[in-house]
Amino acid sequence: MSQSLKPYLSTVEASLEACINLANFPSQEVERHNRPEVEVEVARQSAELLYQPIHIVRNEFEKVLIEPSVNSLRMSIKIKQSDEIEKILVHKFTNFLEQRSDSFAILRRKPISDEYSISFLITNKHTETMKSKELVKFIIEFMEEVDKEISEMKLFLNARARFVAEQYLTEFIY
Amino acid sequence: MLHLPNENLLIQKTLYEALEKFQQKTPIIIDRIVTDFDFTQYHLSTVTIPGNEAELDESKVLLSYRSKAWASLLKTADSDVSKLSSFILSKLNNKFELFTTEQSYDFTILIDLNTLEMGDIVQLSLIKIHILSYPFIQAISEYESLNAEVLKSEEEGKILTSSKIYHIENRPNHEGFYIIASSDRITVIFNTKFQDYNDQIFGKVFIQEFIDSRKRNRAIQSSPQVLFSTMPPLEISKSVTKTNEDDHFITFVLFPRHFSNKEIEFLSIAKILQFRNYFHYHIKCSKAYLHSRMRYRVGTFLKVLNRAKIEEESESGVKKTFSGKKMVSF
Repeated sequence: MSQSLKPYLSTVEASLEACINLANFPSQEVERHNRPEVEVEVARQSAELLYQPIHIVRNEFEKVLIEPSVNSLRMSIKIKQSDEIEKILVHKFTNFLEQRSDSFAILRRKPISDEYSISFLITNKHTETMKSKELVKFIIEFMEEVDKEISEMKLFLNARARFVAEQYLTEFIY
Repeated sequence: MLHLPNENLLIQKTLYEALEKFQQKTPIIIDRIVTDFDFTQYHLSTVTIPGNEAELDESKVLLSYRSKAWASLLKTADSDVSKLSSFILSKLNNKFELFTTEQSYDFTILIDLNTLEMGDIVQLSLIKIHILSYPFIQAISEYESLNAEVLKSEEEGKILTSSKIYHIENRPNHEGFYIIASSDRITVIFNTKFQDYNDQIFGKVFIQEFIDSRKRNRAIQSSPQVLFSTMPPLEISKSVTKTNEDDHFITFVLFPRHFSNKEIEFLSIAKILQFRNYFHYHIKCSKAYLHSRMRYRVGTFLKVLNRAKIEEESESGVKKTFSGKKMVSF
């Protein structure tokens, strides 16, 4: 892990650990409803249930937004994409994960806006059935691995292209 | 599979089968449609006896060919079908005869199983390359005459370029290639399009490597030079009437050493003709690999997430009754 990545990740980890303190909280507006308060549409949100969102920014390519509330927590990650290939790979990869968000439980089907690559939504139901410490660990590991994976895929693509090109041109050597 | 084979395996297999069965005196009747790259289609069928449509002559097989390139091939042959077909027949060592062209096909030849040899089958399976090599052969002969002219003029460093541009459109959407002869080289320019934005970016990575690998790797420096642009190169700019945004032009510069004798000439032409398919095939391959890699990655992420789940009370030490109730000790 590079030196600048470590403080970034540990900040995210600490912030998440602070925010993941979620409790069951039925809706104040609709009887017998229990909904993640961060996901309620803006017009109906009540300020007392939402906490201050946290922005953690590493550089222009990488940032995290954590939006905590009384019974849910939404976290959006912008994954590093410094060129067109990385952009495509990140898009493909996040799409791939989002299509399987049923099995991931805490993954949101779409990022909250185009600004971010992927979003997670953790509710009190999740913290009741899963260890919150492990959940945070998962997110941190995800952030770490995803960067590695994207750069590996990019390297692979270049290496393959080189091999393919060389093999084709070698055929012209007599 | 790294390289795409030049020959069409299905034609080969069908003809082997027909020949073998014919020699064993148990001839089979064939009626097969075989496809190839660039929407090329072949039809192999047993011939009916003339005048008696219901009877088949099992010793003779028809091979029909259809491709989008035929129209532009005819144009390069001055719309003279006989010129083009006699060229193709000569490429097949003049062993086969022309037959009345089958409906909806461009070119039909008659194969007589009595005289068919193994070597001929290989040549027949290469028929697509033989047909498409027509403009190349024209360009090479033009190069030879231009080269002779330069030698005669004894002027140092003079380069003559033919004004004739051979344009073959072998795919829909105006995809195809251009051939231009000069006194010291033959330039082949491919016009290719990409299915979508992703393919375009992947394609750019690949093209860049085609351009760079020749500079980087000393062992392949005698291969053709590769150039790339999104605008039509100057050589063909006058024959490209309308340009699209997604047009990509890849130029191959073939030097005299790439067609110094008949054998090398054939290999070079076959390889160049395979370029578009090879290129797009490997883009698809890398996409497929990335897909399977992501699939695997999702699995490992799921494993990490599952670690977070609170497990049911540990099974060991808890006794259950037959009906599933737990025995809890206080």
